[in-house]
Amino acid sequence: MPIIIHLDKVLEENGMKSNELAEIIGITTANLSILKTGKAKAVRFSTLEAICEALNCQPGDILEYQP
Amino acid sequence: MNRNSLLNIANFLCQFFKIIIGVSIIIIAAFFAHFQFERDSYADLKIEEPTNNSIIRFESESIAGKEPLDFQSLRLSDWKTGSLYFTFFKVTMIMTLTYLSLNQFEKVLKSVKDLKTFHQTNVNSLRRIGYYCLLITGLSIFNYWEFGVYAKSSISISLDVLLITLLAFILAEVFKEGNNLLEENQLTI
Repeated sequence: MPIIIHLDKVLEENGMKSNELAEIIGITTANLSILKTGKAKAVRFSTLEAICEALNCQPGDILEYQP
Repeated sequence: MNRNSLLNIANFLCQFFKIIIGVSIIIIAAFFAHFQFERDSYADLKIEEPTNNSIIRFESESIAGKEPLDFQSLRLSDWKTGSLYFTFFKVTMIMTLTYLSLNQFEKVLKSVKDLKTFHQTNVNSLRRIGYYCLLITGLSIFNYWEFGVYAKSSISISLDVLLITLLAFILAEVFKEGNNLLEENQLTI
């Protein structure tokens, strides 16, 4: 898929671990791992909103389109 | 009648027919073996003219010697070895394939009961049923009987089995779409 997830990078910039983020936004670590590895087929706006709020970033910081 | 009762009945019928087919295969094999050694003990058994009721068929009949043939005089002991072997292997193969199809259908029913309806295993099972039915159609195409002076061969296509084949392949595609939707739903974060 040409959508690249930069969640690892943003997490590192914020000094946060995956399990902490999963707990804050209310999803399982397994689901967060699916998102991080690019296996997810869709992301809910509510999930994206929660991630952006927790990491204080924009959706464009997490997602990138590479044709 | 709720959903589980229907599934249980279907499951029971599958198992019942599997047992019937299994026992029939054993009986036919025993008859086949006995017939080889004790052909004379079947001398009194008369048989009727072999018929084929398929809509699409082409028949060829030949009678050597006296004509017209009185079908009352056809005896089981006159069954020619070539025709006997051909019919035995054909019938056994068709019954085995029917058994395997029922086995796959039982697996599908079990998964529906376990609420794992739209899984890849069901798509594979339905495709297998389709291939088995296709093989059954292929095996049923040619028929050949030879009893003493009487020989009959026919080519026929069994439309009902072909319809089941088509239905199995269509259902496999439907289940595949269901599986795609399920995966999409599961991989939505």
